[in-house]
Amino acid sequence: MNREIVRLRTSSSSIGVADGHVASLRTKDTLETAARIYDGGYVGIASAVGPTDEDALARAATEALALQIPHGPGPARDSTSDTTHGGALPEGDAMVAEVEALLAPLRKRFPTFVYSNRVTAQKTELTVENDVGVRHRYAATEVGVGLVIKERGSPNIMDGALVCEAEAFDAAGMLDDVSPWLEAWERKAEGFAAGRHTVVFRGLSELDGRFRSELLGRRLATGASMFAAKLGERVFSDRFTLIDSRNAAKHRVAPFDLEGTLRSDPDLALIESGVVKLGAASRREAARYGVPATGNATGPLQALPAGAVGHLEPAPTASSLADLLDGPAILVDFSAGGDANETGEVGLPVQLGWWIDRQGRPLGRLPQLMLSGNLYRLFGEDYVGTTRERVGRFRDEPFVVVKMDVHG
Amino acid sequence: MEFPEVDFPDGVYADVRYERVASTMVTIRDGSLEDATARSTTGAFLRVRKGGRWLYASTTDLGSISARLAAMARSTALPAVKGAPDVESQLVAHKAQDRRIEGRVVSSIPIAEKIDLLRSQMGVMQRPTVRSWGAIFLDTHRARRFVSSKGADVRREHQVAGWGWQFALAEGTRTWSDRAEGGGESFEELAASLARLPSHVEHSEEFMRHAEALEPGPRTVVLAPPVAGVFAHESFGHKSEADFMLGDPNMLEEWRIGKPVGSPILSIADDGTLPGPGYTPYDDEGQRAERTWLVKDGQLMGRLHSAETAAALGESRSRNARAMDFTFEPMVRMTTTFIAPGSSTKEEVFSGVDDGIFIERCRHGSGMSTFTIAPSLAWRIRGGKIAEPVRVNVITGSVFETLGLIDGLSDELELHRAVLGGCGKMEQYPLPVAFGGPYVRVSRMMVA
Repeated sequence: MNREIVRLRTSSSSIGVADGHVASLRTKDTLETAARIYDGGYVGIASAVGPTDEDALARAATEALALQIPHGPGPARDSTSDTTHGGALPEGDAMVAEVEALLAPLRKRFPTFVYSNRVTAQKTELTVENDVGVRHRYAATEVGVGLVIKERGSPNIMDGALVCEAEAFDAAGMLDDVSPWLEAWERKAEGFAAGRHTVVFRGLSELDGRFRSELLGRRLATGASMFAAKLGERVFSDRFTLIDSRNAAKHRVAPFDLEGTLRSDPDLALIESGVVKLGAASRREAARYGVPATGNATGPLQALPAGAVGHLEPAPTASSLADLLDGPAILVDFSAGGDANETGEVGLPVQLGWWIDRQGRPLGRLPQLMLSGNLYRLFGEDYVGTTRERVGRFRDEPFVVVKMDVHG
Repeated sequence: MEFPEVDFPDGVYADVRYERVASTMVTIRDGSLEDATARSTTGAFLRVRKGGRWLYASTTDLGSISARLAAMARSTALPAVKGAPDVESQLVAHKAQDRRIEGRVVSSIPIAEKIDLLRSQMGVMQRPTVRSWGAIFLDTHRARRFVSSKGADVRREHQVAGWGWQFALAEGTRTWSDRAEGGGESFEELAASLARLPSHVEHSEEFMRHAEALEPGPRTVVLAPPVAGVFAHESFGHKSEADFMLGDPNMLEEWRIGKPVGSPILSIADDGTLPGPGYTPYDDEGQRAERTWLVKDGQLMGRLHSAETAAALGESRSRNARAMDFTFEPMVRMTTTFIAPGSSTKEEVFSGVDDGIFIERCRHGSGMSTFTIAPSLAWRIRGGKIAEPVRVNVITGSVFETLGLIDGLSDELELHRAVLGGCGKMEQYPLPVAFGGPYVRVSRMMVA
């Protein structure tokens, strides 16, 4: 019988913003604990929120073995890591002052907008430990600015969002990052017409949904994935490599998963040079479906972890956006409600888009658009490339560039 | 369902929302038990109104609440602001109890019974076309108590139970993923909804085998009741949430009560008193729910409020302040939102369509000034009859234009009460809600 304990402690201070002003301060400190007991090819689980007696929790997990939930491989073994991202975060008064240092200039310089929603400073510590040599700890601090912007008088409930993520608060830097877009708001895009266009996404944006749902080991193994019949075949551009990253040196991600698996190579290509290579799988799924275990076990602590794609982005094909664009292009700033079907046909409504120059600077704001294409072509013949350059100082995403049909 | 008493600090408004949640989750995937867990969590959310702003805290340490409230009342983190809305006067101090428990309390039912419920339908998946499937059972029993410094004391208890079945079909080069789900307020009623699973799968098989792509363009569209509900929720419900209007008097003018916003046959309401996942007889500020007409006969009739938005906008309040759980503050949210039925039969709604599209089920929807719905099952309508299946990625259109193009409503209301998923707003997802409507005909929508 083996025992495994997973703990997730989250502490946060969150400033609520209404009408461009600090409206509230919320503090949270939550500890969630899960105990897993492995015995005879089965696993039992019990979990709790708040301070808890881990021995009692383990006893409850032992009782849950009676449900006979299969777990062929048992626990991960002999693997350790300790990773920390970020440092101390402001609390209380200091946090309010920092947020006000961002809001005050926004109100003054861009008074045509109403700013709302929140700014959150969060500290997270995740540990996975068991009695067969697994000892993993990941601690991270992050400030997340998620301000909804609404143009005064607009009939919309929101017109866009200011999103910044960083290890520490930097009001001046964040203001510099978002200002060009707010300054360009009133500028209408000149020379734009519906038709075929080069389209720039921040990361994969809404295009990633199908990759996340179809690049799962269990779906590929059972033939349920739209990519199952194409496993091992080149169906995308040979310049398209899709990476699931647990590389803590590059991104704010834990290098281990919730089964305590540490990859030998943290950057895992699910699609490599256009070839569908493998899907994300937990150790339990790997044993059951006969696929490689990829260190992708995740999920709520209340449940047993299952395979899911994590930090996903295409491998870079160019240094900067200027290397990929030969003229103005569409930047998708905010889109919601799009989808791709099983044949790969994509429909993507864009609520906020920009006409940008080769350096990614705004030339003018676009009307609402509908984009269409096919996933195989978008990352096949219509794939322009992905940058090494990040979309901004406060967003850990590359520019992803494709050709799409644009309808007004 | 006992929660400790609270000593409220003097000189400030404060309230405490206790919550005890017992939930069960069972997952079976491809015939093998994947997960079976039960958990009970107890916590509280604390609010102190001081100097025109809110201090919030959540905790699982129920013994520390009075001390924490006192500390929050002493806090100087948020300097006072002038001209803040008088929230306290909006809050009526109800003393009430509401216990809506149908059948056995779900947390008292052995987990083996819940596993057996799913296992009883596993044979349905023994079909050559089914490549992979996953079934989930979920139940939640919530006991809540709301107390405030004004003397409110509202206790309520409610439960929901439901199931969801996802399945991936494949035949030749054709694949199709679909899902079925059902839910209610008792464990005992789930067997009836699960009995529909075989016909649901057969229907999806037919769709997979025969569905062809559709040329994009404007079409007459009939929405099935659950899709009409998503449309009402996304296209108009969120726009009725008054917190989106704070700080923008122009928007209030744009959305003045009495303004025509849709077809004269269109009425939309939100009602927290209806049974199901949206049941909220008292909201998370302790306010008693009632039906709020958002649109009546095509005219804007009301909006959804918390105490703060009602005070800030000077409007009579609705009772729609809800929080996802005890770790979040309440914000303006929907409960059960629906398009009111009309006077036509279902057959009459379809018979008016010579060439159009019937959206039977959808995956998701979203709505700003443009709404989108991603259909799963869609069918061509020819000569007033449902014909061949068609693959549709998205239907979309201008909310305001589309609401004016509704020209047919059937005469029966159907509410969708699934307990998996819910409504997302900013950081709070999923909040249990319900939605529905009749069969709704729209003379033109963009089908992409």
